Amino acid sequence: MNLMEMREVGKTYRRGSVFRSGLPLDALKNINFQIRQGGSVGLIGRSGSGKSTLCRLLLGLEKTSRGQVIYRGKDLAAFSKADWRSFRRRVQVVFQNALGSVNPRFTVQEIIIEPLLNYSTLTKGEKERKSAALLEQVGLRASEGTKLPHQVSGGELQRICIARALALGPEMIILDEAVSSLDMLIQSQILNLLKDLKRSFGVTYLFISHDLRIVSWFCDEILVLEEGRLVTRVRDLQEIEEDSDPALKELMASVLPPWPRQEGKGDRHAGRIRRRDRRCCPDAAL
Amino acid sequence: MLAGYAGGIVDAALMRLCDVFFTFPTFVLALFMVGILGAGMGNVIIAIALTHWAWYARIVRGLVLTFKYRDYILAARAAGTGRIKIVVRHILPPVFSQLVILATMDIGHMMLHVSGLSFLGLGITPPTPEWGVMISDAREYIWTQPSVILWPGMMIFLTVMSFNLIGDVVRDRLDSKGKGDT
Repeated sequence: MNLMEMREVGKTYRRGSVFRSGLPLDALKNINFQIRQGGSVGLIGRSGSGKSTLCRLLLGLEKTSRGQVIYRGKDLAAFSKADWRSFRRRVQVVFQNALGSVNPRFTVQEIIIEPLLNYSTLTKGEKERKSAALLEQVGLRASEGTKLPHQVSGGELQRICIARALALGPEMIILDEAVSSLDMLIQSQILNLLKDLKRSFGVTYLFISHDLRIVSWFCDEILVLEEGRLVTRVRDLQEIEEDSDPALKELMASVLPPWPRQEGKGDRHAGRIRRRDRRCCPDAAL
Repeated sequence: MLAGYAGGIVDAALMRLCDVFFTFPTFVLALFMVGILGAGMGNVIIAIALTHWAWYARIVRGLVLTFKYRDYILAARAAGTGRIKIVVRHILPPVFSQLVILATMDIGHMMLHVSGLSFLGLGITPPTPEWGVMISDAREYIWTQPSVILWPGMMIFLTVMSFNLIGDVVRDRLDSKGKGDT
């Protein structure tokens, strides 16, 4: 069953000034795709390709210029107040800009429990217990709850945003470049947590990222967005390599290899680097 | 606040009303209001409030607009926070702290207005003591006893200066929690 769907969706912005009528800018054109319940769909594309706009349209934070966004068979445009309340509870988001997406006046605990307060009333003790449990779930100490956003690092803040998204036990999470700012160790920890949630509770994901390796590891299907259009869809890394779409090729070319590849004649260091790689990461496929 | 958050027709209507008030010089408008309402403490306060509200309304609208489009407001909406809660929890506190700072710094400005009106005989009238009135009454003795005009003038200067300094302290204190708010 499809949990969310976009049908012929388009989004046009107008940029104008006092003296000149606005020129239309098509941020998204004719987007069609489905996200099935329990699935994880990856969305990749260069900066400015329309990924974040698509994310806001899916969340109903902006209105489409054309087409429909469907959640459980119902158009978001036809949602009642009760539908929105239920939708907001079940579909959560982690935005790209962690520092911008938290209120600088709120403590970490207040940030994390904000979604819970919209749907239930909690005593002081319950708030502390909930926030501590969520912080530990994303690998942070419960004592971080009293800090303000500018007192924690960018990576920690991104994990706090992930904890906020998990607070209501959502059925779908949209991750807009949510793990890009984390180091590899924390990335794998968070991705494993998200995979566990998928296995245990059937959480659905839309994973927006630049990182092809993570997307291909995490997602069942990958959509490629280029200049507001969905240009191709692939299933795994092999299909990515076989696909001839120039946008995808360009993204593939931009992925940095995990170790130096240069091995020309007279390059005395290349062999040594390879040997060291084998020692450090014996499983690495060289 | 309403104009900034609601936008659209409400915003346009309120802002055009502000524009009407902006077309008159503040002091002339205050003189006009006092002329209609009559002299006296209460009337001076009403006149000054009526002539300055548009300026504050513009500032509050501008502040609301800067906060309205922050990512954390989008995140709060996505987390199911209602419109009123967003205004009360996320927009009102930073706007209010900015406004308190502005208002504190503006007290001195308002005092000068009141003194100016009183000096012209349109503000507070004797026997209520008021520095502007004192300066006005002391004009005749400026050459024989200059201290009579000096002390009320000095007091106005010191009080306005003090409120400006208090405004600075209030800004430093209120801004320290919400780093990156301004």
